[in-house]
Amino acid sequence: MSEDTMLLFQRELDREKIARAHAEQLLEEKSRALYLANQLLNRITQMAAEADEFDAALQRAVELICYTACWPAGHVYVLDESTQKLSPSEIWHLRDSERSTLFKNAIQHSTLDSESLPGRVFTQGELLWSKNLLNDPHFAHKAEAGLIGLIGAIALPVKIESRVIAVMVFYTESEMSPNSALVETMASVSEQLSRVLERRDYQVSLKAANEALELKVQERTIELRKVNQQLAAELSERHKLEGQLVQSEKMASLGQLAAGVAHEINNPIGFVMSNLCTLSEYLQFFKQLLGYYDTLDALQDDAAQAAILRAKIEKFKAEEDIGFILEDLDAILGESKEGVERIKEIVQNLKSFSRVDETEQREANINECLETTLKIVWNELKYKCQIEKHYQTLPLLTCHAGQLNQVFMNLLVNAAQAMPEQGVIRISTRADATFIYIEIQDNGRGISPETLPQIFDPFFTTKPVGSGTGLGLSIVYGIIQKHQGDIDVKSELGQGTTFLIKLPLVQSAEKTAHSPYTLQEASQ
Amino acid sequence: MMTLPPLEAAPTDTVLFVDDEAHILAALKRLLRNEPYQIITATSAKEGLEILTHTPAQLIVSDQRMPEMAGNAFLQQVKLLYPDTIRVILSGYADVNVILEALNKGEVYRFFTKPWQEEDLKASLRKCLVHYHSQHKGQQNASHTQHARRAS
Repeated sequence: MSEDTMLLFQRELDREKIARAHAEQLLEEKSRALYLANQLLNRITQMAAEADEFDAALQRAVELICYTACWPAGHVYVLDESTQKLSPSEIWHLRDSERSTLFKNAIQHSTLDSESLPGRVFTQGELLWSKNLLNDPHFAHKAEAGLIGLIGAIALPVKIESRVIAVMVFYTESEMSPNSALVETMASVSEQLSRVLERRDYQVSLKAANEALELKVQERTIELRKVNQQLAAELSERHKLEGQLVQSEKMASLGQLAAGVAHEINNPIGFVMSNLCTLSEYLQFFKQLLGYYDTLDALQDDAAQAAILRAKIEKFKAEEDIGFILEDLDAILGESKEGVERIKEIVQNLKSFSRVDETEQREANINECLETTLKIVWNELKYKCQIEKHYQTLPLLTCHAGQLNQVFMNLLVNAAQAMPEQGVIRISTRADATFIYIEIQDNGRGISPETLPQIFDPFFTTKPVGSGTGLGLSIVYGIIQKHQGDIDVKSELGQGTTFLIKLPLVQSAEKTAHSPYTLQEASQ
Repeated sequence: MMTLPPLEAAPTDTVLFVDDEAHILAALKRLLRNEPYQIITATSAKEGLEILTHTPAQLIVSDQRMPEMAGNAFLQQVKLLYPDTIRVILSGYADVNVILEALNKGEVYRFFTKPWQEEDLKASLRKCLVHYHSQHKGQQNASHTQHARRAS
């Protein structure tokens, strides 16, 4: 290898070395800048997220950027939501705040020129810079800036949902001629800050919305509670009223019963009492007769007097009609005894009808229940209808017999009332493995199809106001429900009505415990 | 105890008792056997109306609650057929409205209740007959007066 060649080679190598060192330096600078930019971004992200207030977040960002880039001044213009105009805010960073007062005041108290650097950033929505403010015809504070050596400026937008809500302006002490790395970094800062603030704003509004929602929920809860209380009060009032009405229905059906029962009891009492009175008259007669005979005994010696007395006795007997009295004695006693028996039976029927002493379910024969009820309502029915009975042998049913009797009474009396004149009520019973069926059929005037679906509704009545409570059949329904049974009705106008009751032989315990509607009062 | 009115009623007076309860009729017959009037009985309104076609009665005493025809309906018919008669209800129970209507329409003169007080019933029935005779006389007098007026 020649010396020349060596030299050339050496030179070439040196040049290469220098270039390499330069490149390495550049690379290092670049990586440092990148590192700084990266750190800046990270810190901005962190602090913006940490700041409680929007203004505080911007303040911290301005400070951070100024420190990192070694810029002497930074300021933020913010959007006034009401006027939709950008105006200078109180957010500042000044390296030498004492010396900068004049500049700060000048900017603070000016309105923004739309052609100025921040004005243009606001309208264009992207990063811009001014190489030398002192040559910028739209920069109004040249004197104040010059006083503290501010020359260049760079401004970047802060956006929320693509809307510019603030513009950050940074001032430099040399001409602003940013390299691509700075522009890139600042654009990233702008973007990142926007994103963070956007998220924050979203969170804040979400939080506000949440709070508002919670407040609303609370309000509604209070409102609901109030309404609930009101409802509960109304419900208990209604239950009370219903209870009263059930009671009044009971009284009404008792009143209806009383008519028949009073008549039926007063009849035998009437003739028994009258007979007792007659009997004491008879007794009076016998006593007097006995007196005459005693006198006659005493007159054994005096035949003439005795004969006179005998004639008197015969006359007395004839006058008082001893033949009739003697004949009537057996009848009067027999009839009276029968009358008293009848009263006894009525009272017994009443008792077994109402089963006053039973609160729990007991085994009962439904055929017997029907018979008991018939005896009670017979007084009511006998003037209007004939009864046809078709009883089949039934297994014993565990039930509230008193309540079922009330059901039968209601249906039977209704049936009788449905008859314009004379009619027939047909009562049939039968049973299968699971149910007992009771059918009560009349040939009365029937129920119209429009009315039929309503008959079990409480307070529904076709009777004139004051004549019925409209609770009779709803109570019937309640009692059947309580026995876990079914009641069905078929009716045709002018033909009659049939009620079919289906009672399960075995009730499921659960349902019995939670009977929906207590009718115990009504049946007691 | 009430004192019985004088036996002004003619002993030929007849009282018809109507009750579906035979024992009531028997008790009444016993109680009133020495009273100054004939007693006839019927166990239904229908039978009562039939008897009245051949046996006149001045006073009709009826139960209210009877099968087929109730007392007030029966007495309403009796009033139409025999307006001069005195009509009375004797009942253990009756709907107040029905009785008031019958009383106000003049279909029924008195309402007696079961059970009855023996002496009160006797006296009341006699009073009814006295009322019958006074009304009858009054009517005769009234018609006489009318005749007289027409004549004059």
